[in-house]
Amino acid sequence: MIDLAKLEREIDQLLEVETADSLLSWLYEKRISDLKKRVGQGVFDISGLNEVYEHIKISSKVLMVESTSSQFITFCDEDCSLFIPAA
Amino acid sequence: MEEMTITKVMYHTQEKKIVQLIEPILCVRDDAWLGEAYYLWQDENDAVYWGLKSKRKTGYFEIYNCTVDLTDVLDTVFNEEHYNFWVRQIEKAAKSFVVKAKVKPSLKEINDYFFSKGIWSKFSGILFQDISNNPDHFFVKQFQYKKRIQLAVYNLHIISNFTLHYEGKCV
Repeated sequence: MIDLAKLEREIDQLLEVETADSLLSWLYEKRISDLKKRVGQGVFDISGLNEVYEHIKISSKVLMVESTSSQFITFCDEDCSLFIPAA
Repeated sequence: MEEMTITKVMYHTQEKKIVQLIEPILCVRDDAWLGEAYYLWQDENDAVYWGLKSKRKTGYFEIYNCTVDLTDVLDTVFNEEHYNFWVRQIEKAAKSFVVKAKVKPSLKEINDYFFSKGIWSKFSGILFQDISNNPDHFFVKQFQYKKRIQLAVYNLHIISNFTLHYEGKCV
């Protein structure tokens, strides 16, 4: 039987100590890791697509680049080298 | 007191491959709501519909059935306490990301977050329901009276008797 009360206490303690940096760092690593699982690792030329993208920069790293036209959802690692079409 | 074991037969849909599966395939899709898991259908009809609509690469799909031990599964469909717990935790995590980090994670990411932090691994899976496009769910006009229920299995050990059940052609 699952001990929900105990689990909830663990979750509350976990979220209590999370900071903006720790959450963003986890999310960044997760998105890059998920992307690499799907498309592999490589270098893609997205220079011609820059104008339709909004960049969300976190701590000087590009966390996520998302298409404003919904045609592409793009994730970049530190050298901005990965992208995938939206599902 | 000895804990009662609850088991159920459930279904796993995949493209037909050259080799028959001996266990389900781990789903890592971006839209896998409950994160990386082995996804099973409760209703055979939903398993068939999924094969027809989403497992079309080889032109044929396969449905496997298996016995699942639901004893340590978080049942958000029929157990009100589990459902309320699940909603609270998802909302708490989402709020933390939005308020502290100013980003909105997907449901998959929240579930993956809990799993990576060793929280979701305290149980073996999550039973959940969502909305289906299956016409069978609209048998009553304009009302989806039937739940489309899936189980996301995190611990493969709760699955046994995994067997090929049905082979279908994508039409």
